[in-house]
Amino acid sequence: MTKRHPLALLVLIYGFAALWVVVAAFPFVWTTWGSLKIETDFFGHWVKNLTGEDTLRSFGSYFTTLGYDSAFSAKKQFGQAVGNTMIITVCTVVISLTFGTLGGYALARSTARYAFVLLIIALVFRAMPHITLVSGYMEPLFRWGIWGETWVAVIVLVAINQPFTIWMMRSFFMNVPRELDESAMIDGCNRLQGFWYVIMPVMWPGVITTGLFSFLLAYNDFTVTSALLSQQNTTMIPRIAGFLGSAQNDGDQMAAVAAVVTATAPLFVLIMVFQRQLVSGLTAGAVKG
Amino acid sequence: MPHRAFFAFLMPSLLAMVLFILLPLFSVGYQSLFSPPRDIETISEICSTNFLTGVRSCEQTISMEKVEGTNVFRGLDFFCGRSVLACNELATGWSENTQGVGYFWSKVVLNLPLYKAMAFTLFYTVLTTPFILALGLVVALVVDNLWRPLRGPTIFASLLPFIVTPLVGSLVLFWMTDNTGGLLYSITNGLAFWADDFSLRASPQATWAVIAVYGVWHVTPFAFVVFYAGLQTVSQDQLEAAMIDGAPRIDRLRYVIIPHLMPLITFVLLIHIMDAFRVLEPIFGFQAAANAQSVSYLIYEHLVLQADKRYGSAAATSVLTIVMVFILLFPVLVRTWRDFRIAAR
Repeated sequence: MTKRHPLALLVLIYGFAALWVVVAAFPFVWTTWGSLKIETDFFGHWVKNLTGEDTLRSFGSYFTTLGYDSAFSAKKQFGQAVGNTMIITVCTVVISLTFGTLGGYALARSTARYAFVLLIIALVFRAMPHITLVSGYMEPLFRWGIWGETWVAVIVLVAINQPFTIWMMRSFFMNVPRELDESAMIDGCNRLQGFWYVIMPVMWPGVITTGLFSFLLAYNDFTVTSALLSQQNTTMIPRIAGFLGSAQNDGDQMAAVAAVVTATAPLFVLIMVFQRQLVSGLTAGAVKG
Repeated sequence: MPHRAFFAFLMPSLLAMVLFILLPLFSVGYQSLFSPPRDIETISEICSTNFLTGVRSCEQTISMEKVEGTNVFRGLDFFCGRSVLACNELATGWSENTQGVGYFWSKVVLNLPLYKAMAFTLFYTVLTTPFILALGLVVALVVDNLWRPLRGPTIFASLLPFIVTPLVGSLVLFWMTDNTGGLLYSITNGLAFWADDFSLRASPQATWAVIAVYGVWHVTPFAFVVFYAGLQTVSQDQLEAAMIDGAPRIDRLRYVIIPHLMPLITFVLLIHIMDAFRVLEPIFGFQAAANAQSVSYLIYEHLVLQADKRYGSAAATSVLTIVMVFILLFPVLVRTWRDFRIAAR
């Protein structure tokens, strides 16, 4: 597009872009900055959060790691939640991708009517709010005495995200020409060999993009993890929600603030490294209907 | 692809979905109709005769007895319960109502949990959707016209509110608005010159509005990214033709760009409406449960927040939610199915 705009329009464009960036990102900057202050600064008047006057008076320094110390203390055990989150997200992503890649490939290559029926059913599953399934899990899990186990949550997260994963993988496989499969089979590969040695090498960008989204679904999950995990197996997000409940009691809101910043940091890095893949993934579902 | 190979490849995924989505779905349906046998109240009487007056008096003690046995079919009990469709409450409210439909609506219907949650979902959707679509489009147009090296960082900042967990996102905003010295609190009070002290949590209306503002902040990036990708595929020939014909910018936007983006606008709209049923974490983040409850929050409350879990009510609410989502989704399903048939031919 030829972009010769009058000055007034240019000012408007850059002004709006600046405003939008501030609206989108500033709350995170503000909270990260405030997490290094004491409570009366962060939850006091906003000028005090900038200057940190109470923090300076109490600690002789503008910054303190008090909130982080409290969150990671033996009492709050946020470190344990960080570890649980890592285990659960890694397992979920690996299993989701393995299942989803195989399934997505099958769905992309089949022209049978039942393949379409399965895709439509998966679309319905994908649209259901996750919480509507939770009572279906809770009652049997309690009955069998396996409620609260880490591996149960992993399986549930894998299954609940499968509809999304197979749809996304399928749309990536659709871009790989069928002729590639056929030529591999003519050269004497069986279907599994053709899939592994010929199709997969060109599919890694799609796998990475889908992997990012299954990571986000598992990492950001609150519904399943808070309903199905016991206190000691719980992940970061339900733990933060727990801090909120207890924050009023022991007057320790800075632990929650520090925990929020800790949980956001990996996402920050993720967007920075994989911005292109995230954008392509968000549009993959949309542009292809 | 031969049938055998197809099912071999799809098996792990299919198995996971059958065992952990389809079966739980049946379990939810079952739980909405059946319940374990109710505990029976056993009443025992202890009687004694006063030796002075000779009057015999009895005292009743009620104790609960657990009953073992098969589940009991409860019919529509759970669906009609107060926290779900509230059939009895509606019926009595209607028959006792003398002050017209408006009074019945606002005083009876909107005081029942599920109807209140539905009203909240509707309010949230109706209020946020126009802002999300408009803002998303404006941000997409703006970023598309930025100096190229600035686009990356702008997209980075834009993705933050969308990628971050709803609980974290709502907390980050809540902490800026909640306390009387908070930055957003000060700004909104500065703007709200008509009121002396305008508190964001004072009334249900204010709480609903804050959650709606959060919704716009959270979903606009998604609309922006989708629209931005759409802008890259606008036909340059068409735009040039419009320019040669002397169409001003606003007309090019109206007659070339927006029609091109129309399918994407429908897509974002659909996703957003379905996500409105999922609103859950912001209710915790904004500590809004007293004033605003979403459909998801009601189910969560029955299952997690209650000491004695109310599986029946939760399951009945879940069934109703799934039916509603399915109805909303139905046109899309029909269209997707038609596309498949065309592609298969």
